[in-house]
Amino acid sequence: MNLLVATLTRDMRLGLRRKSQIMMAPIFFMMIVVLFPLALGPDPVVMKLAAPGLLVVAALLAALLPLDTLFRDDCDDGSLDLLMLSGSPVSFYVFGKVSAYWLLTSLPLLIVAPVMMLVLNMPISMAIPVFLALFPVTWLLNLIGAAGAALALGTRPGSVLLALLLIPFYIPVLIFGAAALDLTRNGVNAGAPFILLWALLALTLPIVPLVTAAILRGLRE
Amino acid sequence: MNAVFANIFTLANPTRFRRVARPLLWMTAVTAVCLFVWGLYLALFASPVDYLQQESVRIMYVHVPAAWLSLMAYSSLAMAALSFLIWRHTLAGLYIRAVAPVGAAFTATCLISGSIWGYPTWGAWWVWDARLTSMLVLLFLYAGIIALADAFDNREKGMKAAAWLSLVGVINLPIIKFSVDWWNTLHQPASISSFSKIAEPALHSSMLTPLLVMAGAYLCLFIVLAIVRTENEMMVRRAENNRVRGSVNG
Amino acid sequence: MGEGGDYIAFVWAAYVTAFAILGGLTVSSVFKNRKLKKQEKE
Repeated sequence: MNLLVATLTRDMRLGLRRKSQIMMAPIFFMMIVVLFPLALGPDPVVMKLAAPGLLVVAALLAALLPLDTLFRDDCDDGSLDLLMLSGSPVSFYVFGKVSAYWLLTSLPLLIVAPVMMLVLNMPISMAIPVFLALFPVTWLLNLIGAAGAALALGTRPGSVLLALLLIPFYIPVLIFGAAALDLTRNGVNAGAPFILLWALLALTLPIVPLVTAAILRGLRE
Repeated sequence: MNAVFANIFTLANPTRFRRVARPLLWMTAVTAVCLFVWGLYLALFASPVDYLQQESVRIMYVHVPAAWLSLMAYSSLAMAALSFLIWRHTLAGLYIRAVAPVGAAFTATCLISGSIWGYPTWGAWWVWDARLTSMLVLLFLYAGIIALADAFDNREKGMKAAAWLSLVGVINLPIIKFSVDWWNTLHQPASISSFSKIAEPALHSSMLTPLLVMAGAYLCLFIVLAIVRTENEMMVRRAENNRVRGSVNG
Repeated sequence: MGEGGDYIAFVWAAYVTAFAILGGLTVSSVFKNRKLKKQEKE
C-alpha cells in the first residue's frame, strides 16, 4: 500500500512540476473534437448525431498518445529493475502509476468535457451521463494501456506500435462508451452499456495491474 | 552464451523435430492437395446454386473455412503462448512467430472473399456486419502480434512479448465478439440483418460436404505452413546463435 | 435477380484472391525453407 501511495505522489509531483505537460492532454482532446465539425461541416444535426461517439474517440486518442512514456522513465534510469529486484509488489506500483497518469491526463479531460459538449451541440443535461460514461472509459483505457505500455517497453519509442497493439482491446470500451452516450441522447434506456462499462472497470481494476506486473517481470532482460 | 545453452537443452532437438515433422509434412501436403482438388470440384461444379444468390454462393466455400481456420490459428497461438511462458518450450515461441502471419493470411482471405461475396449479395463492398467486423478486429490483433514480435532487438524478448499479447488477446476475444455483436444489433437497420439470414441458409448436405472438404483442405494447408515456417524460425534462430558464437570465439 | 454470368466473375475473383494469398504464403515459406537449408549446409 505504501508503494502505491509513494508511486502515486512521486509521479504526481513529477507531473505537476511541468505544468505544460498537464495541459497537453485536455488541449489535445479539445483539438480532436474541434477537427470533426471542421471536417463534417457545422450542421448542428450532424454534430448532434456524431457527438457521443466523437467524445469517446477523442478521449481514446488523447489517452493513447502519451501512454508510451508510462514506464519508460523508470525503466531508463534503472529504478524499475531495482523495484522488481527488491521484491515489492509490482502490481501496486503499476496501480500507482496508472492512478497518477489518470489524475494528470484524464481528470483534466473530464473537466473539459462539458465545454466540448456545448461545442458539439449536446444538451447540457447530458453532462452527468457523459461523466458517468467517460469516467470508466478513461480508467479502462489507462489500465489496459498500462499493460500495453509494459509489453512495448523495450521497443523503439515514438512508434505507432503501442497504438496498433491497444486498439483491438480498446474497441469494446469504445463501443460501450459511445453507445451509452448515444442511447442516452436518444432517450432510450441506456442502462446496459453503463452497467457493462462499470462492470468492466470493476473487473479490470484488480486484474490488469497484476497482469501488467507479470508482463514487466517476464520481459525483464 | 546463455542463448547457446538454451538452444541445446530446451529446444526440441532439431534432428528429432526434422525426423517427426518431415513425414508428417509430406503426408499432410499430399492430403491437402487431394482435398483441395476434390473440394474445388465439389465447390465449383458439383454443388447447387442458391435461389437468390445464384453462383456467388460458391464464394462461401473459400470464405467460411478461412474464418474457421483464422480462429483456430489464434487459439493455437494462445496455447503455444501458454506452453512458452509456463514451460519455456522454445519451440512454442518459434511457433508463435511462425504462425501469426498464417493466421493473418487466413483472416485476410476471409475478409476479402467476404467483401467480394457481399457486393452481389448486399450491393456493398463492405457491410458492418457483426461477423465481418469481428474478423477485422482479429486481423488487427494478428497485426499487433506480428509487429510486437519484430519490434525488439532481442528475438527472445520479442517472442515473450508476442506470447503475452496472444494470451491477453485470446481472453479479450469473447469480449470483442460480444461487444461487436451487441453494437451490431444496436445500429444495423433491419434490412441488413435479414440479408445476413439469407447468406446463411440451413445447410443442405449438398452444400455442407463441399464446405467440410474445403475446411479439411484448409486445415491441412495450415499444418503444412505451420511446420515449414516453424522450421524456418528454428533455422534462423540457429544461424543467429552461430553468428553470436562465432563472433564471441573468433 | 441478375444474370448468373455477372456473379461468376465475383466467384472467380474470390477464389483467385484466396488462392493468391494462401498460395503466395506457401510458396514464399517453402522457398525460404530451401534457402535456409542450403545456408545451413555451408
